[in-house]
Amino acid sequence: MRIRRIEVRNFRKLVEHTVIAPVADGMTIISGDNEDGKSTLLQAVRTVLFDRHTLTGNDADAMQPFGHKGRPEIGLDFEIDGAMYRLRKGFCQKPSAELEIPGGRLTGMAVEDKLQELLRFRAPGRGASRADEHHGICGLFWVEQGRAFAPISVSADNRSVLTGALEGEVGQVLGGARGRALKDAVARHYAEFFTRTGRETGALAEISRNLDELTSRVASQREQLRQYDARVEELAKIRDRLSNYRKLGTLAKAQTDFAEAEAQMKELEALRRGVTDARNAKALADAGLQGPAAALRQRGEAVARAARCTDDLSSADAAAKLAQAEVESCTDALKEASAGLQGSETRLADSERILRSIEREYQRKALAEETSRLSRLLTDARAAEERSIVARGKAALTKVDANGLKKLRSLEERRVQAIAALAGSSTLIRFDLEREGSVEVGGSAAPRSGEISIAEPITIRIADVGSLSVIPGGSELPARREAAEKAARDLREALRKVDVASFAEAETSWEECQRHRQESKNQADIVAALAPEGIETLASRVAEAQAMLARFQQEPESTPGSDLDEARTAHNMASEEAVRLHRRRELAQEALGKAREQAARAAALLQSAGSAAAEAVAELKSARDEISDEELRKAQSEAGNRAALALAALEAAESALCAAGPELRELRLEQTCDALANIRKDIDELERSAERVGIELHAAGQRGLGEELEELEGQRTLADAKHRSLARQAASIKLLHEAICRAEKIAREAFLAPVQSRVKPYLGFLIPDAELVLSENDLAVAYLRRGGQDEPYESLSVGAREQLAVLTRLAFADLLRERSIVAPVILDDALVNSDPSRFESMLLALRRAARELQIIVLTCHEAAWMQSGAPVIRLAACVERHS
Amino acid sequence: MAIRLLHTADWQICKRFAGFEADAGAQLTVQRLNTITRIAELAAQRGVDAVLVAGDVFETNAVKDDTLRRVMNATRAFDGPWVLLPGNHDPALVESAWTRLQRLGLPPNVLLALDPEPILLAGDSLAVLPAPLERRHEARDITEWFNDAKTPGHAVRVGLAHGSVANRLPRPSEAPNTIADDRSERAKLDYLALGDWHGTIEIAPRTWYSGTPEPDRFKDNDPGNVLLVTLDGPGAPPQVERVPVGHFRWTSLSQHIAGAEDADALDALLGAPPDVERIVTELRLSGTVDLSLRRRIGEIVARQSACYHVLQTDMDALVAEPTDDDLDRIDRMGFIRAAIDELRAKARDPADPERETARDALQRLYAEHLRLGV
Repeated sequence: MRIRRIEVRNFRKLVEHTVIAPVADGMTIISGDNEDGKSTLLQAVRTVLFDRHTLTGNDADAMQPFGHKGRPEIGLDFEIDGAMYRLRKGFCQKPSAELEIPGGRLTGMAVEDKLQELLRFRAPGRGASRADEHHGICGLFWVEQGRAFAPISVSADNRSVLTGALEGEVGQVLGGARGRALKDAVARHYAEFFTRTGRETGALAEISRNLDELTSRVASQREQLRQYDARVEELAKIRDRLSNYRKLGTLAKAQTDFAEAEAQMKELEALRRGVTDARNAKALADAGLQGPAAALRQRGEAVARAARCTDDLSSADAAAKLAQAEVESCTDALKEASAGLQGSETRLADSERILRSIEREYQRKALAEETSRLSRLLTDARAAEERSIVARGKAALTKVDANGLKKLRSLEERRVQAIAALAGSSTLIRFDLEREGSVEVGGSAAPRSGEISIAEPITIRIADVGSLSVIPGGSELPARREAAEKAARDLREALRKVDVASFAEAETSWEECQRHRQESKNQADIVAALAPEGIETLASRVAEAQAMLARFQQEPESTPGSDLDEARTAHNMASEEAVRLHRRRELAQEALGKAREQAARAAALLQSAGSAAAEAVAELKSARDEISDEELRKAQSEAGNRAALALAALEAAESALCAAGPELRELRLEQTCDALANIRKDIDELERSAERVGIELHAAGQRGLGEELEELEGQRTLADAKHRSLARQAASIKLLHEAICRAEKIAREAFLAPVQSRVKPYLGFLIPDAELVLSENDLAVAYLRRGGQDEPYESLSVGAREQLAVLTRLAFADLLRERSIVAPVILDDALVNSDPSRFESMLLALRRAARELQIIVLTCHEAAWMQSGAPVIRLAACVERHS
Repeated sequence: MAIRLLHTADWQICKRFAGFEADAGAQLTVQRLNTITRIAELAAQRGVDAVLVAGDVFETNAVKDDTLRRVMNATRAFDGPWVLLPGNHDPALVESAWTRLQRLGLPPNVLLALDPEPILLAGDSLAVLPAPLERRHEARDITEWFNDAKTPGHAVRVGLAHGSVANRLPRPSEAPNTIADDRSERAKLDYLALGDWHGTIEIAPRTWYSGTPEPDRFKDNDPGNVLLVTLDGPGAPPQVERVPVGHFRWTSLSQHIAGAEDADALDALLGAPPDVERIVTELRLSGTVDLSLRRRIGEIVARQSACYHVLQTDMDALVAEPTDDDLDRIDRMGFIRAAIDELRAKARDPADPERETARDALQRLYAEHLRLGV
């Protein structure tokens, strides 16, 4: 079909009679502004072709323009296979349909039937048609405003048409309905075994889980049975050991051994008691030996002590004599040292008296000089203080102070400003008399030439000429004059208060005051320098110096001409000699003291030694009187004999004990005791273990672990067999499913090859080296493949999507045109999202398609589409307005 | 006075039958107890002097107490002496089914042969010499003591043991517990009642395996019997009667399939033998068939297996090889055909690890094709 003429009246926005004609082959641009009715025009074409003229209800009402009740009328002239058709339909009021066909004319429902036959579409059962279901192949090629980027929706009918066209080119690679049914059946079986991601599901997953669980339970049961068998084995061993104890009579033998060891230990204890008794007897004998031995030893010690004390007495006597001789020698030395010291002290007193006399003379002279200096300072300080007082008094006579002067300066400035303002308003008179004669201004003589400023009426008299009265005018003059007078009065009043005649005098008076103050300060500084502690303090110090000087002068005069340094040297020498002799006398005294102490100690020692010697001799004599030395020696001999006998008895007892082997007997007793205890303990433990294990086994045996295991293994074997069977089935289904999917994919790729080949040249304008991949199921664009990457259609930009969708439609249109199924491509405001570069490429692609296809573009971007070189029909120019 | 014995062994109570459907396996297990009841009834009916059970009364020592009680209950029909001998499955350990039976309380006529010492029965006319296994495997011949065992001069000497008679069995037995093949002669036994071998067989002079009374495996060695033994007196030859008592019959079948006629033969082979519901059968099929024949064989097996107690079919050796006609029937063009070609190539490649899976896949596709209808 190719559209040649469109007429619309009273249809939505297109109220006026609008005629689009002629519409040529190739590309045609229909331009208009927003609201002009471009989209309405496309809707009108859809309506006249695919909606019944008898349409009623809301869908019919929606055709009428807003606010108008006119009958919607649409006409369309089109061409199919070279034959012209003229279609006219009226809707709502008086619905009608008329179709002129080659060689005839149809009306009413015959028109609708003929249109279905010509355009191969399926009309809706009732109501308005929908583009994606009822507009046949035109629904695929006519793109509404704002929908160009949406994925191409290929209806079942259109898919059938396209599939037919593709199969006509590549054959029935898809296998038809039977192939799809088989594929679906296999897919259903696959889904019974596997999820979409290939994980096991359904019965296969269930049996796998069941098998795993049973395997786990079998393992657990086997382990329990193994433990049970191990416990049985343990019980057998326990009972074997108990049986062995009984067979071998181990316990009885151990008891016998222990009894024998105990008897031997009793014998050993008797021998040990014998040793203890012998040891006690020996100790007693040893004690008897110690008494005489000690007495004999003490006698010897007393003899030795008496001899030693006698020797000590002789030594002490000699020492006392030597000490006395030393005392006498030291006494002589002390006397000699005392005499020397006395002479030296006399010489020292003389030299000191001379030295003191000379030092007093030197002090008197220094004091006289100091008294004189202080007196001068006092005189100067008092004079400076008086000058300071005078200057301060002069300064105090001045009434002008800093604030007062500041105020006077302010009043003076105000006065000067007021006079200046008055002068500004005054009348200036310059005069220069050419003749001789006097001049009087305001009654006072004035020079013959000059200028005067007049602020108040004045009379100027010129001799031989007459008088001239000048009365200055100006409204501000009186006020300024009053201000000047007030300022002068204020100044005068202020000057009067400080007893000066003028501001200059006030300034002079202030400067004088400042100078007197500075002078007073300077003189005070001099006083402070001369008498830092004050004049009175200085005067006191002068009086004190004078008093001290007076006291010196009352003392006797010293030897005139005596040298202070010589006196000091003589005094030092006398002093050193006195010290030296004093030290000598101290040493002599110290030596004497020591000698006296030594003599006292020697005397004391002599006395002590005498007492000790007398005591020792007396003691020895007393002891010998009591018992003689001979008697002592005899007693000692008898005790020694008794001790020797006791020792022999002890050695005999120890020998008997040693021969009995005490350690061996003790070890044997320990050994037999431990062995008996261990055997008893082991038997007890074995009996307890046997009882415990027996109880455990009895309890476990009731469960029938082996029987349970048999049952579980039976279940597991059955589950394993089922699993193997199902797994084999699943593997075959999986292999079959994968083989079919693979084959179908290859077939679909082959099936879509004609579309791919037709879209490729168009795509080359836009994105060189790219490839468009269509969905194998619904023929929609699935991916854009470029640079080895598949980019999903949904992930592309809106601009790219609308471009690819348009190009795909052009490819479909080419494919169908070659199968003699021709329909125009209508784009309503498509490519609005394309950038200038892509837009230009799309224009080239459209131009290429327009060589064989009719393409109608509805747009509000006329200037852009003008670049396409296609004829432009302006919608506004197509409206036939009634006058 | 003649002595009459019932010799049985290898009851293996609580034995489970793995690999069978749960119900079928459970019935096989339960049936072993029912067979004991039949043995007791037979013993009572024939008025035997004693029932000798030559080991493996239980599948394991670790049976439930309830199972122990059921076994005792099953013996009630015969109130004469039962002599039960431990075998390698239920050895007389310190803790075993036997000790637990003792604790539970035995019927007075049930004797446990737990010690190697003579048991005198039938008024001391019968001396039973037991050789109980005290562990699962004995390295020595525990029947050796029979040689020197003292028994009354007028009593017949009957040995009772569980193990393998040296050098006599057609195939090695389960456990090595070896018994000398001349034991009956050397111990002057009038009869040696043995257990362990599950088929009935006279293995040596006066020496018999009774076999298990209820078959439990696909071995053609004549199981399912007990032996009624008559001993007229010491030194007299034993008169042995083989009496079938087994409920289920275990059989093995195999069939090679080369064409449609073989499928007919298979159908006839499986077709309704007597007491088919008591038959446990393993069926091995082999050969190479096309997909349609493979499908038919599957239908035959499915139909016939409903009649049997168990029909266990092994078709691993039956190769389904699709013909061109098979495959053309599925699809001649389109992607399904491409998938078929890929799978057939795999199925025909001996080196392909997925060869068997590819065959299954083609069978599956063929089945789907048939399901969709031509």
